[in-house]
Amino acid sequence: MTPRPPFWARWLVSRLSLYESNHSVLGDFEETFHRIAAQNGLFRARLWYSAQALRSFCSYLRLVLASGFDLLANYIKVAIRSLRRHRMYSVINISGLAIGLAAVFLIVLYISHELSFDRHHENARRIHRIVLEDFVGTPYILGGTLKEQVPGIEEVVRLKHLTDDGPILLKARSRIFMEKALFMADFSLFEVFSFRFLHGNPETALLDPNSIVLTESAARRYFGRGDALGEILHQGDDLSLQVTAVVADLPSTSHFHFNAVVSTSLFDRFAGGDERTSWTSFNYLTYLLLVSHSSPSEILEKATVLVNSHQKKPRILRMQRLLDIHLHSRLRGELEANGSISYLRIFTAVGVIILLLACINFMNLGSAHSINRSSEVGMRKVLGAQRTQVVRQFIGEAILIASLSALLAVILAHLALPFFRQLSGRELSWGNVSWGLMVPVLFIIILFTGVASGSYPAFVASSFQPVRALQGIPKVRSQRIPFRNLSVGLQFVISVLFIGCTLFVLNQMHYLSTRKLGIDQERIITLRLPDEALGDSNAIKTELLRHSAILKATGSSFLPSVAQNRIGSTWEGRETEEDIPLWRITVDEDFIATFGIELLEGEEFQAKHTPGSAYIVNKAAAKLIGPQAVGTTLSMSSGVSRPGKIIGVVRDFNFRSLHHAIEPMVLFLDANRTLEFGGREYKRTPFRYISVKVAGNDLKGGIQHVSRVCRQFIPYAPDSWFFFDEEFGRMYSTEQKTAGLMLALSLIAVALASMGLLGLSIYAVEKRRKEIGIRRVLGASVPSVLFLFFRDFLMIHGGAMLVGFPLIYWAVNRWLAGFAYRIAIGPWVFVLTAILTAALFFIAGSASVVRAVAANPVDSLRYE
Amino acid sequence: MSVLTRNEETIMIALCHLGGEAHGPALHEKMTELTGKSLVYGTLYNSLEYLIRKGLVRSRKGDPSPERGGKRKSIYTVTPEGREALLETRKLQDRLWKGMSEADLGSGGTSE
Repeated sequence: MTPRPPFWARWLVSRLSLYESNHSVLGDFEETFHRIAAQNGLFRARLWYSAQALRSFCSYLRLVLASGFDLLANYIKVAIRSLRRHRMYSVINISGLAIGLAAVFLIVLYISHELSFDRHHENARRIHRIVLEDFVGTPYILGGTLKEQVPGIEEVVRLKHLTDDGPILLKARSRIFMEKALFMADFSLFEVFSFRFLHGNPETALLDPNSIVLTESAARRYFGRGDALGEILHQGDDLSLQVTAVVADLPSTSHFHFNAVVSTSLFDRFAGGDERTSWTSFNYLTYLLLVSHSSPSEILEKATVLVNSHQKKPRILRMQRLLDIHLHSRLRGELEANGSISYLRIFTAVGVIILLLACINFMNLGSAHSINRSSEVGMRKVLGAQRTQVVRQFIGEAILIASLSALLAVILAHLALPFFRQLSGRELSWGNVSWGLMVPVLFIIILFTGVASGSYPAFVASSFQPVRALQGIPKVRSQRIPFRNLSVGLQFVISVLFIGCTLFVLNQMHYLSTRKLGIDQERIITLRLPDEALGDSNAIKTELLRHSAILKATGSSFLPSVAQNRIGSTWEGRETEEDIPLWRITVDEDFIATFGIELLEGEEFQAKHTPGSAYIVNKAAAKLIGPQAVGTTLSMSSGVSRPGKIIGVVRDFNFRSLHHAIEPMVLFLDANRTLEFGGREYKRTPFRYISVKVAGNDLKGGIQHVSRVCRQFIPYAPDSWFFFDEEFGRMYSTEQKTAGLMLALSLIAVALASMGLLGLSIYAVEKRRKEIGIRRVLGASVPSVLFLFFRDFLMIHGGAMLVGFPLIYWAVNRWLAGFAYRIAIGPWVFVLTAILTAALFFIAGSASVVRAVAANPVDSLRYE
Repeated sequence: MSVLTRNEETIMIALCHLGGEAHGPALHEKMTELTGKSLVYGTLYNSLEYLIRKGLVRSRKGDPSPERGGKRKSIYTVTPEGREALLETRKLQDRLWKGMSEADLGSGGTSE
């Protein structure tokens, strides 16, 4: 028996493939082994062989690593060369993936921002808010009573936005400031919510009735420095507030933002007298900090019983988790415009679609492109490249391109961030993204798209017979074609979807901005009076009218676009006692004329009508009251006003945003004075707004005059006037922002889809180059060959519309349901979508097709 | 013309000693004999690989023989470029040592 070296060592040596191919190392080892075995015995020989094998292996590793870099350098060189040679392809491929990834980054940024709302509060998970079914307010007394009587509540805080209906003036060191975000809160505010205290003590900050807590930027504004501890702010003539703490500015991901907070001990100053004990005025936001594991539903049940034991008509209460407020709560009276979970879902879906599109494009382009490189593969194989080497090269190349794109995407996203911030209206920053998740996901995406797009050329192209590959006749497996058609179809469907939906959204936004509101919003300037100037409202109105460019002027409690106040009413001739809530706007006798509201029946307010005794209702209310509305006596349940006769009916006009249908409404006639009724004095809502109609031929003079009057009467806030239609447009800012975002994202998605089609059509043409040549030689005309290609495209396009249109209908229908006033889903948008997408595909597809068809057939056939 | 490293130089000189042509085991044996140190096969092949890439040594396949387990030999030959590189290295060596005597090396620092 011939001696044999140890099995494992032999195996190890046989792995050293580079040595083996170049140096026949296995044979050398064997030879020496036998010599040693013959001279020194088998044991020594085996020992020698094992030691040599191990040590050689180490040095082999060194060699491979060193030459591996050489190979890698070669691959990179080849990759860069091929990128440069096929510039069109490279640009489409890299920029496509980069744009897609950049859009996805921005969407992720937006989504993480939306999801991180209120999470900065330490107790966020235990904080809940009690609200009414359709309104955020609750009675003041509810919070205190709950804490006393219901177990499971650790702390309660009540909040009120004092400057909700106009700024409050604060005086700091004899300078007057308009404060637009002053809150009143229980001192437990800092126990329930978490704020970063820069100066002062959270436990005592709001204990003293005359204390005020400022945010850092507010402190800077008032006192020029952040450390404003101990400074005094004056409100009115008699109230001085001492700054007891300064907190860091509230993060953008908070569902409320105050500049200053005062204590609820100042209740009597800022709220009506009986609100402290009233169970029927719902003016406070109540937040509960629950003990862990206590049941919110049980507490809600008890709260409902508590509230309803004091109501005539039962109220429905709801409990909201703090973390749900931003995305899920869209009640009347929210502190700030909240986000919306459904938009978030849409954006998520769009992000996924864009990512898919970008990846599919990348893969398709990569594999289509590999056809061009079959001769390179053939050459490599002829020169001795192994299949695994070719596979590794292609996959490596694809990963390289994907990484390049990702790098470019990060740069793109960063550059687009300021623009995207403006577009979304959110203070987005990279800080809110959880990088621990993002970075691995990004790597997975790069790896996945790289491997997926590289694997087709890697495995299919590398299996080409070198001879066939060199001849330039790659064997394309036919079962790949359905997949390709499917992905073309997907691109078509997505384009159809995005273009269709975007058209509908734009259409609806246009409709909203141009819809007749039933009131004349042209050339109307409105002054919003601060509290201090309320007393001057009559003088201001008189002064305004002095200029010839001011045609009409009127005072009102609310703007006709933002009515917020409903009041239980009843009228004669009703069978039940139950009150019907009517929207109420208090106006003077010029309101109807100034806003050009059409009077349908009866008469306008005139000087002979006494305040609080004559009413004008809208058509909706008239319908409710009955055929003979004019002349009917109307009375208010809470004794706000005397029962009075309805003297007129006006056309329905939109006094709230167009999300809402027009509801019954009553116009009160009033003047600026306190009303005595039934022996009691009622504090009336004075005219907060003065609106003027400016003449069209002297708009400039009118604006100057308004501005002058403003400076005269409200020197501390001379910019308290605005154009009514601008203010009205602001009500749709959320929709407009969303529409803008949608438009941008749709453009990206459609651009990506077109890029994909462009790439695929290049591929399709490449594959049929010879066929085109033969057809042309045999006498086919250019148009007939073109038709051959576009017939396929048209069929897929038709299929895509068949799938896409019902989807569009479904989605748009759901979205429109959120608007009381909306466009009809007519056929025209669909037709336009069909034409647009067809045109798009035609352009994307035709570039390469036309070039190939118009080319001299000799070129494509010469090598046959 | 590149100058060889000491290791490469040793391999080339060993090859020349063997008549400018040898296979792995013979080369290894000769090197051990010349340097008096036992050399790991692996490092030998690393250096050979680099020499081949530089074109100083050529390898060709020889005939298989029974004591090699039926494996072919790789036979290494010094190329003309290799010969030139070796001479160049020799010349450099001579230039460097020219006129130097052992006394010129000094005592080797302050050590005793």
